[in-house]
Amino acid sequence: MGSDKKHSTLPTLKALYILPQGLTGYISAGVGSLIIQVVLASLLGGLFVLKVYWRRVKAFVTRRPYEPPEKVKGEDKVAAEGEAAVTEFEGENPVDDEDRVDKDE
Amino acid sequence: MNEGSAADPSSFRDPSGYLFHRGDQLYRQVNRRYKEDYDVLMDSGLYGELVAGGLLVPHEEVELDPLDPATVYKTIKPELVPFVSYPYEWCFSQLKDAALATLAIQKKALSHGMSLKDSSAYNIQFKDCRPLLIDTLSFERFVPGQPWIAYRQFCQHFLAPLALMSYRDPRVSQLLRANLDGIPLDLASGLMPTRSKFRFSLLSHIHLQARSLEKYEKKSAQIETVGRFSENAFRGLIESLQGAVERLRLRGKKTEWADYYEETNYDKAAFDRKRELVRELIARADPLTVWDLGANMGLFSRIANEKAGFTLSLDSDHSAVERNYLECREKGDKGMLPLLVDLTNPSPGIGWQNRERMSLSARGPADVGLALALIHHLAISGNLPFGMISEYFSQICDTLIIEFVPKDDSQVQWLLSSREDIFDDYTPEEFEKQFSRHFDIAEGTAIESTKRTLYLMEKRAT
Repeated sequence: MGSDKKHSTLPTLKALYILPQGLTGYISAGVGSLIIQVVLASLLGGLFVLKVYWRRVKAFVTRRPYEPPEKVKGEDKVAAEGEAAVTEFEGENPVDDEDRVDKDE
Repeated sequence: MNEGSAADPSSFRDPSGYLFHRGDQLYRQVNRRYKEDYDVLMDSGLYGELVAGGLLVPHEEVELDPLDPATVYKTIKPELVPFVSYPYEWCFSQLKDAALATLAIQKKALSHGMSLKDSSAYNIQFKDCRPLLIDTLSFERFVPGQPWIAYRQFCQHFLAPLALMSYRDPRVSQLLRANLDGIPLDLASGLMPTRSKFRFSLLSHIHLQARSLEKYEKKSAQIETVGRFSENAFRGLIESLQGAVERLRLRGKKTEWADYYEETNYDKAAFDRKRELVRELIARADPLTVWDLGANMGLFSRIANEKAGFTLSLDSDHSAVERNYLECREKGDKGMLPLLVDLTNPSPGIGWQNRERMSLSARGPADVGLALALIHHLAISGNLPFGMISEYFSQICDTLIIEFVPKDDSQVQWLLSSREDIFDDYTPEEFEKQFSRHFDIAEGTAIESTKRTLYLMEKRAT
């Protein structure tokens, strides 16, 4: 079928039906949009971490102060498992502690 | 319902609250169901940081008889923006600045444990040529593990139109007028050239998302549970969108009006005299608001804005509006707003009951309308009779400063060079007669060294 062939370039996503339950918000996010975000997650997350470390290397080489990206506040170990809890604890990202030091400076 | 109160027809989608008018003032009711989110917004420091950065409209909490006591948590009085404009009236750089402001707000929200629950371009307005969010209730507490609920909306309202304007033509922005919730991604994907797929951000956020939306359109029931969208993925998504928007550029394209000031048919002395005349007439009118109709790059808008508190600088040529906006932004012009509007087809009321987004005339009238070197374009290029032009101008301004360009002017001759002259009534006498139906002509002054006349007119009391 033509339409099936058209869709075959997308990976089979049955195994990636890993969206959280109880989505918030009043607009329709679109199932396909949520799925493509999950598909892109690892890549974008990895690129983001690389970017953060690259900024730090660049700051070290150029001897300019490191400007950390905005930090997501409110993730803790429980939340990391998918619970919708918002706390004051600032997560376990190894970058975060360094961010805090830089901000204090 | 309270006397003299009315819910705003544009504010009904989000159950967190709604706008309403009481007298001349605009208020926003915060509903009880939004209580926790509102308190986090105000107490976390996010509100203060965004307002201090000029990214969110400030408000004050007021004690007021609520419109709906059963649902009210608080009533707030937002600071008003001088003019409500819409994305299909913005040039490329305005839409781009609005997109980047939305992402900057989202990044700040994340750092305070919140996230934008919508990313509608209609939530952004311009004040002093700077974008700011006017929907105070757009924030919700960040839910760890959840993808960005407003991702598709951001792509439809911002990324797709910007990419199409960059890769195809800025006029494609008018698709936003027909598609209230932004340009559908399958449409955008189909209109984009193949080479756009070689840019990873556009491939993923437009082409693959469009394909995914199509594939999973009717499969929501199959979605099962659990798992998470990591913090780094969320931040990476916002950074990726920011990079995608930042890299989009408008391709250079000269248009007929963008060089207008260099190609006028009168000398510098006459041009200077015209500027002084306009300055004098504006001073006499002493307006708070001016609409410059056919503003080109806004030279006369700036003269009007020396006196007025707010000047709308309208033109139908995208390049002119783009250059006008960039100059306003660079100079930090206070009270100026360049917009893309074709007066022969001005923005209509659209959306639900045609009331969600207002027509241009519904957002007026201005104290002063400025119509310089415009009448021949409307009357000859647009085939509009003087009487109809006069009638419309009387709906959108109280005082009119208008330049009459006679038929023997070289600009009119140029317009007539490619068509039959069917305009027997295009005379100064007929012009004055028709405009006198809606205006009292206070004075008409010949512009030295030209064949043109500058009129000051006051709208007739009805």
